[in-house]
Parts: sequence; structure tokens; C-alpha cells
Amino acid sequence: MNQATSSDDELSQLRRVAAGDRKAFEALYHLYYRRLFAYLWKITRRGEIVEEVLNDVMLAIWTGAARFDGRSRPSTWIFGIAYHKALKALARLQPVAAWPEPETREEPEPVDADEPESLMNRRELKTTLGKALGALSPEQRAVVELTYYYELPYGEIAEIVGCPVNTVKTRMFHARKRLKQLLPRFGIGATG
Amino acid sequence: MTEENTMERQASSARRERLHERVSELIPWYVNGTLAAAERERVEEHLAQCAGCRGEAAAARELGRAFREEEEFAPSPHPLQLARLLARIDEVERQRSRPLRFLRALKARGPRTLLASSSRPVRRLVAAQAAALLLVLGAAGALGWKILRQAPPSTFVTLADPAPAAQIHVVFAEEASERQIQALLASVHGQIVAGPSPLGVYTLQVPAPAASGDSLAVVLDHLRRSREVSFVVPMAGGASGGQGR
Repeated sequence: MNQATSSDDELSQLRRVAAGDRKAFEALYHLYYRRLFAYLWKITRRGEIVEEVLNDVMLAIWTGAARFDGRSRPSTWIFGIAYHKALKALARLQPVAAWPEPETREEPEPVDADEPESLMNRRELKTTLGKALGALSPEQRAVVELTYYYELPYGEIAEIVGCPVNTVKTRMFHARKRLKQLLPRFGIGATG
Repeated sequence: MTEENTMERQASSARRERLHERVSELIPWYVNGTLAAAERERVEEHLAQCAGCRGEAAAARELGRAFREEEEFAPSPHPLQLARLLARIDEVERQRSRPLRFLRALKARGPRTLLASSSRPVRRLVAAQAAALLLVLGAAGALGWKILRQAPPSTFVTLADPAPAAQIHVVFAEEASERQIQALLASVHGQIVAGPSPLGVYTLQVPAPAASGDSLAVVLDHLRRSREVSFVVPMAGGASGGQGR
């Protein structure tokens, strides 16, 4: 209910942006800045490019708002733009295949499963999770974040990343396999 | 008979395997609570019979919890960043309407006057744009320029992302009063160090902290937006001098 209302607000804001309303644009910017910042950081894991990509995203919203057809939620559309801008920026950073596929071996050290439970405090867990996520490809990482952090249905994730639902499921499958290798201690490796 | 049984068993085991795979790949979305009712029921039925998938679901829940606990690193926007964005948008809009504005600017004065008396950065910029436009106008036979000495041009030369520079060329709007100009200068901590050129171009100096990177973009943007100014262009690399009188 709440979400629908805010979605409607955003829709009317986008319409005003499409008509060249700068006040509406600035309001949208403030509404989305922190969300986009966190999201872009999660996908890229490269703090140095986040602000630049964020501005690219907002500029694309300004120039593309008139093309937004309202069939998806505004946030889906905006996150989709952000996803593609993030991948582009990463590609510019590392033009050569820089993201090892699950098969190739260049991974952060798996966590020692025998270490005493007491040492496994939350902070450490988070660091471990962060490292493991860093080992995924940006495409896999986006699917994982959108599922577990943003708690979106796979259909909406497919819209955001612009690929078929089956591809989303496949990316998740590979990401889970990879995370299992890297996070045995998470209990994720417990069941094969 | 036994052979038939074996085949049946194999077939049903293959079916179970397929079901297991299909359900297994849905587990992340079962756990995040976004499956449609039919799919959710299918997953629940399967979980009741499959210990492996129950383990997967537990692990996925654990993972989800860890994700949600991850601190969100998201600062509030810095005003400079918005200013940069708005400057880029201005630039985009200018590009969209450039031919018209530029035509108007050139009609207001002859390009040669501007070229002859402006400093080199301005000259280069104007020359490049004028060359492009002269091609267009030449065809229209509209080359009879009037040489106007004082009328400032409308805004038509800008840079989207200038290099750090301490000096900026400015033409003030005709209707701007001295007091307004002083207030504007104070707002950017600027000082007039040279000018006016025959075209009315002043060289403005901004203090060092405001002269680099983002801050300069903000100052330029501010100048461009103010009504007292009709022409702004940064001097590349903080070159000394500017246009003498």
C-alpha cells in the first residue's frame, strides 16, 4: 500500500521531469541519492566510481524520462539504468575480462571451517560476506543483492538487469555455488 | 514385469530429479517471500520431502539475514555533486538548442569583432564555433555583419567540465547595475583583474580554494545562472594575464 503510493508519487515526479521540471528533478535526485549510492556500491564494489556513475544515472533519467512508459515501477526503471551504467563503468575500468568465472581459480581464501565459533563474530561474518561477494561477477552480484538485500521477485530482477527470467535463475545458481565454496562457515556449505 | 517396474522407477526418479532442480532454483525467492502462491506451494510440498532442499532453504535464510544486516554505506549528497550534475544538464540542454542560440548570438554581433578582441581561449572557442556556423550562414548569404562595440553577446560559449583555473572571462549583462555586479563578485569571492576589452570582456579572478576542480565548476555554474552575466568562459590552466584593456 505504502509502496504503491510512493510509486505513484515517483511516477508523477518522473512525468514532471519528462516535461523539463528541474524542481521535480532535484526532488527525485534527493529521493534517490542514497538508495542509488548504496545500490551502485553493492554492484560495483568500487567506491571511486560510484559518484560518477550516479550522476550518469541521474543525467540519463533527465534525458530519458519522456521515454519511461510507466509499465514498470519507476524504481525498477531507475535501478535498471543504474545497473547498466554500473556495468559500463566497470568495463571502462577493466576492459579485459577481469571477473573470473566460477571455474577459474583466483579466489579469496575460504574461511577455515574449524575455527572456533566464538571467534566468528558478526563483524567478521560481514567482512567475509563482503569478500565473497567481491569474488562474484557484477552480473551475479546484482542478482544476489537484488534477491537477498532488496528482496525483489525474480521477475522484477529480470526487468532490472534486462534479461530473461531463466538467466536470472542461472546467475543465481552459479552465484550460490560460488558462495558455497567461499562461505562454508555460513552454513551454506552444510548441504552440498 | 520387473523390467517395467525398473523403467517406471527410473522415470519417476528422473521426474523427481527435475522437480528437485526446479524447486531448488526457486529457493532464494521462496526465502525472500516473493514467490507467487502456486510456486510457493510447490516449493513447500517439495521441502517437506527433501532434506537437501530444507538445508538449502535454511542456508539461504541465513544468507538473507547477513545481507540485511550489512550496513548500508550511503552518504548524503554533497551540494557540489548536484551542482555538477545540474551543470551537465545545462550543457545537454544547450546542446539541444545550440543552433538557435548561436545564431542569435552571432546576429547580435559580428564574429570577427569577438575574435579580434578576445583573449586566446575565447578566440579559439569562438573561432571553432563560428567556423561551423559560417558554413551554414554562408549558404544563406547572411554575411553582412554589423560591428557592434558594446552589446554583450548572449550566452553561447560554455564549457561543461573546465580544467582547474583561477581566472574566468565574463561579460556582464547590459542591464546589470554596478551594485548587482559587486554583489555577484562578492558571492564568488571574485575580483576583476583585467578588462573590459573592447567587447566588454572582463577577467575575473577567484581565490585558490575555489579555483580547482569541482569548486570551479560550481562557481562557473553560479555565474552562468545569474542574470547579471551574459557570457562566461574559464581560462584554461589558470593562465596569467587575460585580456588587457
